[in-house]
Amino acid sequence: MKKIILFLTAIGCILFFSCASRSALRKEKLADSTRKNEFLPAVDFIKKNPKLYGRNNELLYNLDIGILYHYEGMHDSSNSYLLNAINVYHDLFARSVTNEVASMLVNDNVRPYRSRPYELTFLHQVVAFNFLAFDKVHEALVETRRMQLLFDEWERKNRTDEKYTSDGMFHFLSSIVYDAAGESDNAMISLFKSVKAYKNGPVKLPSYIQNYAYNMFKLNDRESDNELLKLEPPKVQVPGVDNNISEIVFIGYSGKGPSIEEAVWSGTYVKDGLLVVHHKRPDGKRETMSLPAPPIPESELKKAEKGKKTKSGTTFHIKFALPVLKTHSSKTKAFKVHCDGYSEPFTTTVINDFDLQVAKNLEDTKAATLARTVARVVIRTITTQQTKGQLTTNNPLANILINVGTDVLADQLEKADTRSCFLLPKTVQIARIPVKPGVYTIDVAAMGGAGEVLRTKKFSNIKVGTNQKKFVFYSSFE
Amino acid sequence: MFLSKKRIICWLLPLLVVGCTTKVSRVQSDSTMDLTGRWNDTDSRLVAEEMINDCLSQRWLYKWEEENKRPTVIVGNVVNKSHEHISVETFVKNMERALLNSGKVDFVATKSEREQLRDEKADMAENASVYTAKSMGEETGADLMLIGTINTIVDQEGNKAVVFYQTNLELVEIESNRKVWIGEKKIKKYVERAKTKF
Repeated sequence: MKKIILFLTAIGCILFFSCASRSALRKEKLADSTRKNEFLPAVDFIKKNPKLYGRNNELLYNLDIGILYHYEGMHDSSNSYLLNAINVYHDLFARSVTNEVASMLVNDNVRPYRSRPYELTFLHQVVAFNFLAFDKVHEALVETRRMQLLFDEWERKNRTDEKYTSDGMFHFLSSIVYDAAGESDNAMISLFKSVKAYKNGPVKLPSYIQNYAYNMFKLNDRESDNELLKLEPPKVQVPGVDNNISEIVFIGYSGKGPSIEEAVWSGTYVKDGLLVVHHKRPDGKRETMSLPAPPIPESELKKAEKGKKTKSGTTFHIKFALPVLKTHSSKTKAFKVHCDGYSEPFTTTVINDFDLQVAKNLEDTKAATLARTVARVVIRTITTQQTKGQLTTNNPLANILINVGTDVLADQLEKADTRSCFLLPKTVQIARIPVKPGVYTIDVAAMGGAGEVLRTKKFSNIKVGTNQKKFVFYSSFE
Repeated sequence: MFLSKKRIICWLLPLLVVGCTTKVSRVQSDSTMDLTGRWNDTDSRLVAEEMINDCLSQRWLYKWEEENKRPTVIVGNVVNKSHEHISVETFVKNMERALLNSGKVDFVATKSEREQLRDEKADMAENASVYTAKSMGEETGADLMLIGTINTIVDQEGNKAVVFYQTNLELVEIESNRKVWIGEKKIKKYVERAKTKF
């Protein structure tokens, strides 16, 4: 009886912990709304179904709602959720021992979601955007300083330029905001950091920023920065090269951003020896990994020293799951912005690409994720074998069922941590339109790859004051 | 068995219920309570107290007192150059109240408040009786403007951080651009966050 209760409890625990499919359900429900730019129904859905996030995903819950409100243009509501998300991030600084132990036994989904670094940067960026929508330049700069503290901390931890510790887009936009506040020196420092971050990061330095930076450094007697960053003189003329000019800054969110899926690896674990696992890629090719298994346990070592038979060399079937990038094809490639007083439209420049950022993040975290996963799977495999031994009965049929059931349920426990904010755009794009103080109307068109117009929007009554920068946001997730 | 299962449940149940309830208690508004290490009401109160004492004791007021006049002050921008979203209005309002209650200074409405008042006067011109409607162009011009900044310097490593806040407020004569008073309050905090919890 006790064994049956133990077995049923195990099933209960496994079913409880294998609820990682909530992430998949969220994606399924929200993807369609966002593609159609229907952000408020998506917010409504999230608010009505908080259980799809759960207590461990409080940060993600706030981030998703905040981002959707931002796309909708409800900047106050957006900031209320995004600032909540930032508070949750800081509250999660202390790691719970219970959660960490549970994650070693179950999977990483039992830990609270702490966000991925590029998400956190974008989160601060959107908070700044929301303040800029209300012309609160100094509040937007608070976000720059807060993010800089995080960049400094990431840099201190990594000590190399290989991992994501800075963000070209964030520094570039900060440079524009510093310029709007009349702080030219800080604007140049941010511009310098931006070029440096682009050169070290996954997103290629856009030629527009390269040319703009070269001219701005020259204008502000910082030609040594051009030498340090090895910037070449531009071949094309860049509009708006001056300090503190009045301009309309158009920010476009284009295409559906990437998500993180699960790749299942399976193979054999030779106890105290090797893990050999295989995985079939989406293109049909087979990948194989050979990893050293954790060392022989002390009890087994003592047996070996006494010349007794050990369990080493026993082979077990294992399965584990690792997170992988999933990109989505999108029609929107760029935006054309037509402004009063200009005969030709401005075409946007890509300043961030989240397909590349997610790929970089998975690469940065691969070693740590793999080490945790291998340790977890090995612990679980040993535990499963011991459980099978303890549950053995005199009934052969029951023994078969217990053995098969234990293996199947242990496999079910293994889930990759695929949590991420999949509501991010594929790319963030910018067009800067220098204007004289006045009232303007701009027409924005989201363009497809063949130059076709996918959707349009008119923004009227944009009042630009002296030395003021007006930010306009538009998204096309098609 | 010394403790039966039922007894254990009877002991644990109230504990669980108590653990799940929200506990609220009233505390003195001037008590010092730090939860996160961020700017809080205590910092705001310390800045207000320092600024009020300093502002009322400095000699800039003598000039007006000698002439038996009260200067009129307008609150300008207090720019937040820190790394936190700080509500400057809390200590600026404290200061405004203390100066006004001292009877030595008058305040006029801020830019946004004035716009609201002008809208109201425009509305009165159309809708209120001629005896009660307030006229335009009768506003009191300010003599001085209160402006300021909040700056922070943060030095952090891992779970430890030293945060230095410097708040500066200045009174500037609008006519001559002369600064007549500069107040300063520095606050330094050492914040250590727990790395782990149960």
